[in-house]
Amino acid sequence: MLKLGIPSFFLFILILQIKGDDFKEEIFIKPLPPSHLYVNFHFITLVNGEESFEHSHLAPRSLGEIMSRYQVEELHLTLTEGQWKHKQWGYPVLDAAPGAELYAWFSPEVIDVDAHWKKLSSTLSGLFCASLNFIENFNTITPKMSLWPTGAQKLKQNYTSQLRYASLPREIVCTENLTPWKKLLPCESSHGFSSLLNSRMIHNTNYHSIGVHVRRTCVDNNCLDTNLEIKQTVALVYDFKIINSMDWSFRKLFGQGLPGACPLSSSSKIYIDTTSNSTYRFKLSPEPNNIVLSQRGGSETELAVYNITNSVMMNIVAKYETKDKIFVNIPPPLTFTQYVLGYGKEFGGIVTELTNNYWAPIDVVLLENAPWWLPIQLSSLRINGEAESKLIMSQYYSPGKSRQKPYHLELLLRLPPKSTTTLTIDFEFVFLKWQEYPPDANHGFYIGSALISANLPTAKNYTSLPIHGNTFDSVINASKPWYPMIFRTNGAMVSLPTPDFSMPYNVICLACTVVALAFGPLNNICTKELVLKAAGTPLSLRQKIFNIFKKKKD
Amino acid sequence: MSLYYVYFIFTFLVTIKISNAIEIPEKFQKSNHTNNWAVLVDTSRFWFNYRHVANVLSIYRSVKRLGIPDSQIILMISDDMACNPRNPRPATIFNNAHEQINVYGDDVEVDYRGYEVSVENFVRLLTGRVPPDTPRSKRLLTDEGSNILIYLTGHGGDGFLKFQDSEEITSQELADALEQMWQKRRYNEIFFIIDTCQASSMYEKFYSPNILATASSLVGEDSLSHHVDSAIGVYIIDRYTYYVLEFLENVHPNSKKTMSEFLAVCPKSACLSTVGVRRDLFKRDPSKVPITDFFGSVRQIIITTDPIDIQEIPKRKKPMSINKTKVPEKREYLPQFPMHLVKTTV
Amino acid sequence: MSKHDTKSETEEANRMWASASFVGVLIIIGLPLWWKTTEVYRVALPYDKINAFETDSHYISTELTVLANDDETAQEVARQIEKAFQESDVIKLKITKKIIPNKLQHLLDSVADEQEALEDVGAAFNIKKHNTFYVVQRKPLYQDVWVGTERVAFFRDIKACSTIVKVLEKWIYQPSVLIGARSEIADAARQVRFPSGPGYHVVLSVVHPRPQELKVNFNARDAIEDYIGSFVDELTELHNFTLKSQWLHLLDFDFEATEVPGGRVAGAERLPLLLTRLEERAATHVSERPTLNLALYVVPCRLAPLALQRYDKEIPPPVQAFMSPKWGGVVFGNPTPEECEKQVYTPPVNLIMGTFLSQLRKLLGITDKEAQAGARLEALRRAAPRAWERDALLRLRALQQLASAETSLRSLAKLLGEISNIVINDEVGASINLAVESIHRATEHMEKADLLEAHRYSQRAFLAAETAFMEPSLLALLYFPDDQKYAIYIPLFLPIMFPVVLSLKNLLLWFRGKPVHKEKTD
Repeated sequence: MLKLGIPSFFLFILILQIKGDDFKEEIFIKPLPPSHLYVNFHFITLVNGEESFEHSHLAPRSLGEIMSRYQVEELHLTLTEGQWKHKQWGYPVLDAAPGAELYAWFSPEVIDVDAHWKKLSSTLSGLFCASLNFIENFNTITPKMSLWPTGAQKLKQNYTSQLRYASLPREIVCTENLTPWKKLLPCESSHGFSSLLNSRMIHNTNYHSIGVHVRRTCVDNNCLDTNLEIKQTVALVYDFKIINSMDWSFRKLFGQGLPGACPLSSSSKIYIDTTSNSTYRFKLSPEPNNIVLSQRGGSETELAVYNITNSVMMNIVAKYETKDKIFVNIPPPLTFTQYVLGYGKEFGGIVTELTNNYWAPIDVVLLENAPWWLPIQLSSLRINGEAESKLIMSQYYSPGKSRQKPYHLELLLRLPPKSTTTLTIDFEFVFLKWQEYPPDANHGFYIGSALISANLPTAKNYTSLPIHGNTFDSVINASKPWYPMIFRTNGAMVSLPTPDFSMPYNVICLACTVVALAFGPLNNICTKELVLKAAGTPLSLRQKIFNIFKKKKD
Repeated sequence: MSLYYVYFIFTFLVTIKISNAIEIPEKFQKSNHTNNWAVLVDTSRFWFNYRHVANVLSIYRSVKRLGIPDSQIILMISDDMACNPRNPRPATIFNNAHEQINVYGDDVEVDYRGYEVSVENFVRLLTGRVPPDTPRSKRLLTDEGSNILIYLTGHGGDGFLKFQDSEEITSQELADALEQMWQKRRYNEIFFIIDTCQASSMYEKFYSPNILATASSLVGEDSLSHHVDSAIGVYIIDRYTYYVLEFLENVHPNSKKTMSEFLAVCPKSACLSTVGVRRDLFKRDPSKVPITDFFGSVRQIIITTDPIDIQEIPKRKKPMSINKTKVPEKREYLPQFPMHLVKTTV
Repeated sequence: MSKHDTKSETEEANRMWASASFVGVLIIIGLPLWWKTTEVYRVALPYDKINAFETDSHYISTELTVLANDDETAQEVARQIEKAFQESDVIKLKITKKIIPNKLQHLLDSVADEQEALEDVGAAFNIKKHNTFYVVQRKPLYQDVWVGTERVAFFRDIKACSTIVKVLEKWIYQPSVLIGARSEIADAARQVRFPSGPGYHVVLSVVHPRPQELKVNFNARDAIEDYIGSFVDELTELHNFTLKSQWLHLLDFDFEATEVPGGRVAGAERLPLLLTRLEERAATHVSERPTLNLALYVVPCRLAPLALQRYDKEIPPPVQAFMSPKWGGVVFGNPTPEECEKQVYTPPVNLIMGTFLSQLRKLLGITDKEAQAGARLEALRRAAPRAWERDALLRLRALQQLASAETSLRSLAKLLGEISNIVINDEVGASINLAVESIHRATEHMEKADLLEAHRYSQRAFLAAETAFMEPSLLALLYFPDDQKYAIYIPLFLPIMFPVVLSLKNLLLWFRGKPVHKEKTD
């Protein structure tokens, strides 16, 4: 049966490739000493770029239909829970902001980009069961310097105006988002690497992020033909304390062994970063198919590669030989943090600290995206304490409008070597209208993370794919002069002045009472005259009754 | 005496004749619905209301198991309990301290979550007046042949149901929404279940036909929760839904159980509150209505016996625009950093 | 003394003017201002026109021409048809009688084939016009009545009158189906077909549970474009269709199949659950329009051949397929043992797409035609529908959309009349007026037998009525209900108005000149 299976399997793959749909799946595992493990899943579908999306073979038709209906050229959506600790863990393959983050470039023919953006976010909210329909004009910005299309673009085109970016830091990610995400894969969750994604195991992590990235890539160097690349990613950071041991295996991480490759994928590979084997020695079993040494920008990485071709259940185990070692953390070239200053409910400030640990200057673009209810004042911007700093090479500021636009600040900075640059900007609190408070207003309001787009001169701790590469093996020996990367800082939370919501009718009654009490005497004074009357005049019945009460009072 | 005999024999013969003339009624009254929908709403927020989410997911799980597809279930959950940092068992929600069934499951699809669960969205969903960009999975696309199961759980009072601890829906608004559904013929029959305190006040004001309603407690009574899971730290299920779930776990897609058995599922000894039922708006007799009329899914299957034998293979004419040969344009990757803005001398 | 008097008079005058100014501000200015600002903007609606709709009295006129060899036959046939359709209030026939010209008569009698006869009739008369039908006499006919794909029915002689009437009732015009379309209650035919709408998506899903064991040679895109495309191209006046296809791999389903001699039979209760499973992966909720699902299920080799029910005595149909109302259809592709050996399966495209077409026709509203004694309905051998079936669909949809528009408008008018604080903005008013006007136009065209125009207007009315009914701003919750309005304003205004209203009496007396002394002692 197997003998018949393999040739037909390859025949099938051949037919698929002639048709133009290609599906690959990969896992990248990197231990993050001393106590974490980074697992990254990639599922890449390549579709011939000229075909319409109405007829699909391996690519998810629903996603294609959305892209063609709203004329989207490139789409990036991530749903993340947790913070990536850049200082301890290095750099991820793709960074993501906590919560939901969506940005897309629309086709140049689209005139009303905002209307298409709103429809796109509503449709994606239905597809991924996330509240993306809360993306409106008042939390969308158009970054000018920090985000650039990763896909192959036609020459001489204006793409900045077709870009929209929004982030919802309050979104949660759970099984209800993973389920429709898995349905986009050709093998769904029954075969192949996607069957490892058990929600009970992958949500029991310090950091988990699922993403969908769609872009156009060149078929060859001439780049006259393009393929549409649909990449679905899952990034997880496991904590050894949670899995209760430093030895890890697929069974411990995912609850089951790997049931083999997906029959529809043309390549299923597992890459394990064994560079840390020199300090934290561990042994992999079964033995990897081959070991690859990759030189990239001056740093050397050793990768153990497993090539999975059959449908036999396997379990990769890593056993650590020495435990209890003291770990010295060498921070990566660029680290950063963001926090909120101030006290009281009138003013405050956002501080972003960028640390350049490298011996050469690094250029970064910092994007601060403050919501409309947190007006940031450009005049209060201080870099290392100075108002006019030489570190700023270019600046873009778009002030926000109440309930219509957020505040958007972009700075192109040159960070001096071996230094920490502190940016401070002040904001003031704004009163929201009663209906604009969320039901749990006392929880606080989230400020989204800042984007830092950096042009790194070194590939230390850098794991991202080069721009022309689709799969992870494009990382091997991919030295380039610059290594661009977009980071997201941690988000922050502020507590806005919140009213007591149980007061409306009390206030109405109080106001009515006050007005009535004030009006009565006023009316009396204006319209009635006080007349003295001699005592002893005959009293009416009414007066006699009143007098009884009065006497009692005395 | 003989006259009495004659009289007796006469009536006996007549009754035999009459009973032969009457058709033996079927065990179940025929229903004329063509599809089934479910609207399951949990209205409370905050970790200590874990049990309401467990309630609604128990019903979701039963309804899915009995065949209603996800595209015909609208699930509204106000807060995230499964991936809440306080949950010691991530991505799970249990309705039992023994943690036997994870009602959250592996293939749950929540249509409205978090802040989207509001009174306005709920009424818009029922009446169909949703904003124009709403995707189809968030709309109630019922028609005149749909049987809808509506399940509400949360905190309630006399005449209102609290949404997210900040707003309420009154029983009059709910009754008006259902009447608007009837006017547009958006349902065939509705089975309305509500599990809150003083729940029966919510169905008192209904005035549209074909609605069978049941509530976990009468006006003046509180619905109580069942038990605490000490590992999770909160009450994890309400009494009424606990016994409902126990009953539904024994129902399979071909079940012959009736609605009246469902309506009697929680006696006062178990629930500690009296289960209320409103059946005057419902035409059929609940003891003859199968439970799968509301909890299962009907799909009529018609076997095709007459394929068309096409003699000449058709070829569709392609529209003219495709015939133009496209000139391939050269593309390139852009630099990922605005190098053109970096000044060389600083 | 007089000085004191005048002083007290001026003081009294001041007090009276003060009181008058309170009255002026609060009652004369304040009250109308409050009323005006809390007024709800409501556009005037044509309630009387909406209440005057009589849905059950709509009818469609259609033209019928009887062509016979002699006058007597023509008269008799026309009389019988008129008698039969007299009571039907949903379709009115305008019958014209003609004698067939000699040349044509000669041709009809001499040609052997009905198709050629059709062409001859088509050359003489305009059979391409919508909403017409020709009943033509042709002597050398084997049966009493013969109906083909064009708008012509041949009959043999005067004895075939009753068969002609039955054919017109059950096949061509189907007044029972039209009555069902017009009524509020859904009849059996309406439960099967998709609801009216301007457009549909048709998705062909090829379900392949075992791609590693079997390769399937099937070009889904070309199949759907050619076969279904040719069919839907004929229906562009009715609906707008978008055709799509996709492959669903590794979708396994447990049929609980039982072994029978010759193959396996799927469990009958499992078939509805197959539809649920298909819906999970088919992702049709992303589309904006209702979707017709056509699924080709490639049965795995270990289960093939799989049948839907036991066929002990009857001959099994050439292909195993079933459909579900308002959802779509499923066809099983059973690979033969030889194909399983070679691991390549080529589904018979013609047969499969023919099955899908027959399912699609029923789902769109073309009903089955039961056999009539003495009449022959020529089997359809092409993808496109018959010309008179298209006419029937147009009539059906026109009536259904008209009835639905009227029901929507009536219930909307009732709702807006009952809840007086819903704002009726200009768009809603415009939609309602457009719907009412389109309904009138559609009714006129239907009565004049102008079918295409009638359908166009009825679709416009239907869409306008739906837009008006589903307008998101018509939500009672958004607006201040009356009882809450009074609950807030009464505690504010009542204590204020109380002394002001009481002082009105004094004001009146003072203006008339009488002295006012109202004492209140303490």
